[in-house]
Amino acid sequence: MLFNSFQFIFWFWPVVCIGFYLLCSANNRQGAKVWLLMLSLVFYGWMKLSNLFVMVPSILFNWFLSQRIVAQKDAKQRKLYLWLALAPNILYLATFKYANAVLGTHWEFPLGLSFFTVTQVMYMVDCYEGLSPPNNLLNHSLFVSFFPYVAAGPLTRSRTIVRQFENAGNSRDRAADLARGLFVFAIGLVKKVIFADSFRRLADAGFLQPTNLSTLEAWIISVAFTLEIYFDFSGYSDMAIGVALSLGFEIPENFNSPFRSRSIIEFWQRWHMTLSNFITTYLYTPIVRSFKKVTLASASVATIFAMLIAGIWHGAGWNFAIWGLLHGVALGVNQYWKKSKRHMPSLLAWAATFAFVNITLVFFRAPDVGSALSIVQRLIPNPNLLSITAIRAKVRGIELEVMFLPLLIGTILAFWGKNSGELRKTFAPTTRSSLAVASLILVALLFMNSNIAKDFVYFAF
Amino acid sequence: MKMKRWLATTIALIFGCASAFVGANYWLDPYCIFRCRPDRLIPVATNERTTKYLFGFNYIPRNFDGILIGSSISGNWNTARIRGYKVYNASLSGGNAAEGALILNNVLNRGKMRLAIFIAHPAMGDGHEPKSGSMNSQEYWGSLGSIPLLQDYAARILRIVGRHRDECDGYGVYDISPLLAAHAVVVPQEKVLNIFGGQVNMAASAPDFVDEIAFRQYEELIAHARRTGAAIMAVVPPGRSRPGKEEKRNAYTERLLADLMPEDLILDMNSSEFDSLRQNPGSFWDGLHLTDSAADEAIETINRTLEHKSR
Repeated sequence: MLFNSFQFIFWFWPVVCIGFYLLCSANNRQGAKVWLLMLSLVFYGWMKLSNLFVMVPSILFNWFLSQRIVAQKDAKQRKLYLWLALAPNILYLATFKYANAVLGTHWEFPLGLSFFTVTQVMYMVDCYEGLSPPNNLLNHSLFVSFFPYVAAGPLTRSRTIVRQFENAGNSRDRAADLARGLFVFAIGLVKKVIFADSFRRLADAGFLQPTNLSTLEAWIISVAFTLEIYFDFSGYSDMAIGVALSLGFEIPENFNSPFRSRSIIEFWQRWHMTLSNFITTYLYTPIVRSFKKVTLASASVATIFAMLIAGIWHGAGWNFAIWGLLHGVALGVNQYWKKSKRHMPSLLAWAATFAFVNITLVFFRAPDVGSALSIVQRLIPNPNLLSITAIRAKVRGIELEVMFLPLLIGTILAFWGKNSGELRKTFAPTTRSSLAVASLILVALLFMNSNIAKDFVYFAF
Repeated sequence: MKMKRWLATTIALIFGCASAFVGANYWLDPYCIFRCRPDRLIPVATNERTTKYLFGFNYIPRNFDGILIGSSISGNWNTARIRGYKVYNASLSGGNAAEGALILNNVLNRGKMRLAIFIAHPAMGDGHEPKSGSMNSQEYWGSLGSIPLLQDYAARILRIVGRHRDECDGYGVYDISPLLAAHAVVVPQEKVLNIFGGQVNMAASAPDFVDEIAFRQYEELIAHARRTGAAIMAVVPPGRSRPGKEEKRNAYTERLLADLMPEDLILDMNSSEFDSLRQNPGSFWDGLHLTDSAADEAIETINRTLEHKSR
């Protein structure tokens, strides 16, 4: 089920909230958790019931192994059980992710598999390290399948959310939770259906036929995709945060105005922050620890490896590996630059960072390396410099009329606007904010009813 | 304001405004879907594909007993001049059989057509997918509140103040005057001759690629109309193909007409009988599409064919 669908907004979400708060009011916390679990499974199986046959065994397997890890007194045994847990998870994910590319199969990638596998890997490692207490089966099932984040994150650690499940319904001001949730959800909905989908039309127009793009068009469509994926994924994250908030649960923020970054290191502190945390804690740290001595060089190598893995995690194509590798190298270079204490003018640093992010995202969006290189080549000024005939041929005038304002406002907001975290802090229950939220949702509903609801970009990963 | 009150106000605003907007659109019913008055001719103000698709639900079945399925080739053929039938021109700019089916299937599922005219032109086999996402069941609900609906209202208001021309009249017939204005004038004779010499894109008149799925869609389109009892007429529109490609075009056209039955009417305006129409450069405003006067001649020929059959 999509957050940006009428089913979700007008029946699923209200039904979840009503049932949850009724059970909480009756002091039936277990019942409330079972209710959330049941509806999370309905949410997850909505698009394809067979997806449940992928997730449920994974939940049961990991719950069982986590119990075994914690039960072991002997360190070696604990480690053995950790590897017994991690290896099948990695194999499970890799099978679905790379079988089509390697074996030529035509399997459909199960929704959210990358996300619920990663959350469980984090949980296993946390259990092994003694950072997370073992969950009972109900808590573990709910932690993995919790509908706000099951499909595409934000990646949430067990110790962050399970504690909140234990206190479900304890919030002193449920109306405030609901109001804040609605406010954040509205921001996310607008980001997705108005901005992301408008940028998507423009980006698709170029990426589908990249061979005859001018330099200007190549920049327009690459920036359009950069903004599309930002609004799409940050919109999804906001909606997830908003829905969780409406039930009184806090899940982590995922974006913090990434296009204000003045370095790649800063960019990764602001972009897909929960993935960055995962990469740092669960990939980079173990790799760097495996070196005998931690130096700048070994840290850079660890960074490159970790980012390469993150790239491959996104998909089987070489383009994802190149994307990860480029970011790994850039982060390494950035570490050296930082150490050298050389200064770069802010504007130049910002422009270089954005240009790098934008160019590398071409590899992320293009269907293969050849197409990506073809577009990257066109980003370099060439004789066909300023023509816009290719885009005009693809985007009909009437579409442009509809898209123009979202494209303009979206561009301004992405670079200079307040992000949802900042807006959330300023939220106050006033007539103005009520009118603003109602208007945003009404306009978003109008857009939702105008196009076929588009999938979220990260549903594919 | 207290949080509870804020929440109640916001939810009430959302539901109140959404209900009022949907209610108003239901009452205004610009696409004649929910409370259609018969004999009310509604022009296509804008968004040709969405509007003609939505007209298929009620407007066409209620007001017409004939339909013409084609592409821009037949867009300005004034079907109001067809005698004995009230024919809606459901031609779409760049339309193919897949899109024709989206309109015709709705029409035939909700009403009975006495006559179905199919344009047998290679454009109808140009791809087997709809060319835009604006002809799907989502548009039905979109008629209660969507961006295309707002565009439609805006176009109607602009029309009232003289700032907009409808794309098609109540019979679905194109107003090609803005296109002519965009192309300066009817293409002068010598330029048309150059066009006939193959200087403009006339690839569609003799495609190199044959899409078998598109052929099947075209056949199914005709078969569906026949099953519902409509008289079938296939019209090969007058046109010139790129020099040296006549054979290919003729073979393509024959393939399009292959499934017609003996009782069906076939009007081939590429036969020698229509040489004078085709060879008159003034018949085409861009080398491919008929001018209004030539389109009237085509309609008159359809009339003669229908009258001949009824005798």
